[in-house]
Amino acid sequence: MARLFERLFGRSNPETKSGKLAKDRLQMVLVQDRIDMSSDKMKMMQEEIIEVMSKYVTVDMDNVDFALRNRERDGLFVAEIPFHPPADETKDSDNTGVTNENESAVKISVEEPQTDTEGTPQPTSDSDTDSKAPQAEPRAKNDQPTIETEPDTSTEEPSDADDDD
Amino acid sequence: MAATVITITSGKGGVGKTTTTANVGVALARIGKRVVVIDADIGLRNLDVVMGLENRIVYDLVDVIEGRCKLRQAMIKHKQFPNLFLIPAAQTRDKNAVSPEDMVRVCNELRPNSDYIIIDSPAGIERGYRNAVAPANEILIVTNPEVSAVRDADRIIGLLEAEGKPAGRLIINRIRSDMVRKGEMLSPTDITDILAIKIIGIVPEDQYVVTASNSGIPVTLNENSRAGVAFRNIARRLNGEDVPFMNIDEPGGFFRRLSRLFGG
Repeated sequence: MARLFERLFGRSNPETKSGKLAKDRLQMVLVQDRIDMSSDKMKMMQEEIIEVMSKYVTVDMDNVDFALRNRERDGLFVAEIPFHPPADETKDSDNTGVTNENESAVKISVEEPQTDTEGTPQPTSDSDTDSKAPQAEPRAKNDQPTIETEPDTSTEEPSDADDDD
Repeated sequence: MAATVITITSGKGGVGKTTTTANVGVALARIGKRVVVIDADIGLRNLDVVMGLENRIVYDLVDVIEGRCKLRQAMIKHKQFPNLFLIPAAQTRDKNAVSPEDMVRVCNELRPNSDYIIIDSPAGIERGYRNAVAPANEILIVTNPEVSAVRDADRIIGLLEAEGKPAGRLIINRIRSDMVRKGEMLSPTDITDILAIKIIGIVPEDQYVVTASNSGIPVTLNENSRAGVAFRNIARRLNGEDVPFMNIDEPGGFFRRLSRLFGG
């Protein structure tokens, strides 16, 4: 809870003036004062929200975060719930699944360097030998390779993907 | 014009309700209004002493409610303003001697001959507070720029909302603009951001308030006092005038326009 709250409210540091400290502390205290919900009930509410989301997506439980704040005299419940789409091809769980979606949505034919940065021909990713990718001209070292056609590989083998130096 | 019953409350004790009641009462009387101030702090009366009328008490609010005297007999006329009256609290009883219905009845009896009836609420959220807010047409909430006071004010605002009472307006009392400028005190903007209600007054910390209560002469009558000016401005705003707030510097040294001014 603290992480998200800090991001919403800013983090106090040793130079923070006491007036600002007072305001921040009051805002936190008043959220609890006004809510009139026991922390057990709050916890149950959060768990049920996650349950509902889990019916539709795969929630990244370790990175779930909640914060409460006030807006005027009403409460505001802010939740950060990372997830990835169900039955996703990607193996690793990065934060919101957005990157993967972008990558899996991109399907263009690209020119692939035949060699990697050291100039040594190496068996690289599938995309190099993938029949979908056209055989590319050998590139100059300074050229940046462009987007891979296979979404998996660019995240799993970063050294093959974008470094050219 | 029909009388307006104004209750001055706070939640927290010691923030300046009694001082505000006395001074706003005097300020309104000073501009010709017919004012009755009522001390609802049964058992811990103080409005009499702040107004310098402590030697004139014969009957009190509980005597009226229990039928030992007529209402008029308990009304103490102010030395300087014949249009200003005080109904003192009883000192030897407690809040249970009075009910919310009693307060409504007393105020209704006062309404025909008054312009303003101002009730000094006790601290707290129990019977005394409920008695005081029962007859209110308007509610003023006094707070200090300090964590406990603002927290308690928030509670009161919540209670008033829940009970369907008129929306309260805020008086921030004992502001020190030097500390606000340095960022070492909650500013009026901070407090209204947090509490989200309209402001009707900002009263600066002022030594003259102490000397005024020592002598029993409300600080409103002291032309040299900044707090006095602030109380007179509150009276004018209550009366419908649009009075700009005195310059209370926000942190950083520049004046930032308050977002929640008295809107009339």
